[in-house]
Amino acid sequence: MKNKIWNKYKGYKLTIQMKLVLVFLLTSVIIFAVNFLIYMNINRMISRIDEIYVSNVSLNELEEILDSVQSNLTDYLNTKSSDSMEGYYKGEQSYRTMIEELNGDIISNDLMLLEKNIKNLSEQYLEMTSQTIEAKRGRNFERYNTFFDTSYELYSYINTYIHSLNNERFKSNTDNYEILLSSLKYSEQLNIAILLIVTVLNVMIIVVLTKNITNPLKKLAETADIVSGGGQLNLEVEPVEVRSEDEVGVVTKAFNQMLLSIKEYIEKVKTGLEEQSALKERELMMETHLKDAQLKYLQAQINPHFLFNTLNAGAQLAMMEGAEKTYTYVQNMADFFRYNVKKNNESVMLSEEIELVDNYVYILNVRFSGEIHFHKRIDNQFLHVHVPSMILQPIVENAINYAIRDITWEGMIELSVYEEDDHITISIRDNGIGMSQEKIDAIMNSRLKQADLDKNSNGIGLDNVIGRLRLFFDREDVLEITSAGKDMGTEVAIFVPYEKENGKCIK
Amino acid sequence: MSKRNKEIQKSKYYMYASMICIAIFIVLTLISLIMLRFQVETVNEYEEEAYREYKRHYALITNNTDDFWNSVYAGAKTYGEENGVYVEYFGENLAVDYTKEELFNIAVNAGVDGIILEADGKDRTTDMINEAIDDGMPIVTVLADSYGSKRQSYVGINSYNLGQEYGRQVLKNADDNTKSIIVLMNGEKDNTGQNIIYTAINETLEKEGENLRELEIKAVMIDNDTLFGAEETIRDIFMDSENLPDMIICLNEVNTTSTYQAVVDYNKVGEVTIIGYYDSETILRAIERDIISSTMAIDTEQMGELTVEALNEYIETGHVSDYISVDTTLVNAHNIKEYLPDEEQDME
Repeated sequence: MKNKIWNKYKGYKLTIQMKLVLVFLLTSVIIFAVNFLIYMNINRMISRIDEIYVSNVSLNELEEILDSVQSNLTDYLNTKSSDSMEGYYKGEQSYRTMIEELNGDIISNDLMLLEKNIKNLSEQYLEMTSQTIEAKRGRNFERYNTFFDTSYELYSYINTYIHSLNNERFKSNTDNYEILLSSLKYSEQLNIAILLIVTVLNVMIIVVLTKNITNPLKKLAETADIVSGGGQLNLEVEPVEVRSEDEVGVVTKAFNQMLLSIKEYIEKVKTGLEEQSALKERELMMETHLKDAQLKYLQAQINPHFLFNTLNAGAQLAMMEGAEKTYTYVQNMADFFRYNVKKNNESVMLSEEIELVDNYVYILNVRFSGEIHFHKRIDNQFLHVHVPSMILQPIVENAINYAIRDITWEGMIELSVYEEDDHITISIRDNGIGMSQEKIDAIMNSRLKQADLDKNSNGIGLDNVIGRLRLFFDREDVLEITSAGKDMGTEVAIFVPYEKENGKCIK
Repeated sequence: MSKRNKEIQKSKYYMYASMICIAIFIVLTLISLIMLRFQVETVNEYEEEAYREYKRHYALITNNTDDFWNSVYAGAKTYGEENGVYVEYFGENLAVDYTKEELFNIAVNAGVDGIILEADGKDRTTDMINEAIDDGMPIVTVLADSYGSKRQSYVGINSYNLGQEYGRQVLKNADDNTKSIIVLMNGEKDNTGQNIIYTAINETLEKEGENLRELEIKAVMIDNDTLFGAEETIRDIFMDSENLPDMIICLNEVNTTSTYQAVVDYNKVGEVTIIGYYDSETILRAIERDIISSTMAIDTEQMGELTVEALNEYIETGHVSDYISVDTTLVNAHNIKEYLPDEEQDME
């Protein structure tokens, strides 16, 4: 409720122009009101000062009329002219009217008392002058002479009295004048003080009120500054609060909306970019791995071509001489190298891979006088499954080189192909020295250092095999190494995804 | 959220501050305007002071104005105010210094309801009084009477008693070396009261001062009619150091003060004994310092009261006692403390 009224009076819905006009009006009205009051006061005082000496002026008039009465009387006594007679009566009449206004009561004020005395003396004087004139008319010289003397005496007394009263009045009027004058001076200082205070207060009011108007604008500017952040776009700011509905309010709202839109847009662009780059990355990885394998293979290829040709020649020679065993051995070697020469960049059938392993084991058994016992348990229906080339031979080579080379018991390697769940498992198991879990993890995560690899291997390492399998099948779970522990042998299992319907592996 | 609250709070503070500013300014303005109005109003008050109205108007007319008469006037005025009478010290507010006769004439013509007059023994004064009384003006003489006039009453000192008291003071202060005594008298020949005092002093000295027959008493006339004449005459006495009197008796306030000042100026303290008149502060201080041996204190305020009372009585009842006596007291070193004003007042 209070807030409602508050808002109403605050004029949140007013435009900036209206607000400024209101502020200006308010302060102007205040200044005007104060000035008006001050002006009224000064005016009042000035008119009072004007009034002060009025009483002196009227006394001066009284004195003048008394003079005219006396001079007309003297003139009449001298000349008996009708002009002076008329002047006397005129003067007497107005003098009577004037002294009527004087105080006749006994009042404890010196000036009032002087007035009373003047009044009584004047009445006595007028009485005496009329008697003088009567006596003059009666041509009673002695009488009017005496009366005139008395009149003159009274006239001089009255004159003194009027003079004295005038003087006293002047004194008190001067006192009043001084009081008023000092009041005027005082009010002057007061007015200046009031004006100063009002001006200061007005400035304060203006500052306070305009602050209300400009504060939102300032806040908006600050936020905009933060957003621009010295060339670095910074959208992590809180939206600017909108409390007024004037122009600044509208701009602020638009600004907030803009900020929000920019944020959303940037978010969209970001996710799009990420998706694209992930796609590209995968493609690149495939290519790299293949290129890597090809390079390694090419290196190994230089000799096989030569060897293959020479071995073929050696096999023909052995056959011509009737050396059966030598012929078979050389033939095997030739087959082994031919495989390398031929199947370099395509997927091959599982049977071909197994044949290569057979060749390889035969060669090694000749070399090492039949030390390696190689067993196969193969489900023949999967011989046509397509797998990447050069995946079984490196694994078997690894098993021979690391697992069973230095053992004292009879080394044995078993290759089995069978169906398991939804895939085909190709398992190469040995009874060699086994493998620690750390090493397995290292191999699985391609963290094996080059130095750890045997120089005798033909160059294609396990991680290459794993990488190619993953890329080929486009899944992570393609190979598993298990070992029961030290001297307990190792099993490397390759999982080939398989769909039963058409009897082919998925690729 | 809290920031928002803070903002609202802040803007509310601004509002309150501006409201308080406006309030302060309005209050300030109002106060100043009221003060200004007040200041202007004092002029009105000055003019429109509440005056009392009285039923009668008496005029006090004296030869001259001094502490003595001011005190009498104060007594008369205060008493008058309590009894519906306004007493005017006549001629005081006039620009011209009129003589006693002229003032009397003005007062009669101005139609006052009664006149209190310091009279004298002159025939002209008597005629003047009688003329006014014939015209129905009640008159009371004060301090100095006009014998043979028709004045309604006289308020004053019993001159004979006063003279006796002066004589006793002379005897009390006199020793073997005391020879010449001067009585300073006013120059008017017809001042009967003075003459009675002088006679009474002489009689007292003769009757009671059997052992001091060598005392030589002399009256010196002082010209009170010319301005500052009294002071000059007194100085003349002291200039003649060969024939300096041993004792000076003064019969009014001005003479007492002048003599006291002369004694101090001519360094004759201790040589000349002064017996004074009236108890003005100067005179009392002189007694305290032992320069004046004693003075006659007259209850001046009582004197003023009695004159007004006498006039009232006459106007209201048609008759009043012919002579009303005012108390006199002797002030000397013994009872000076009772008459001196308090030290605090003195400081003022």
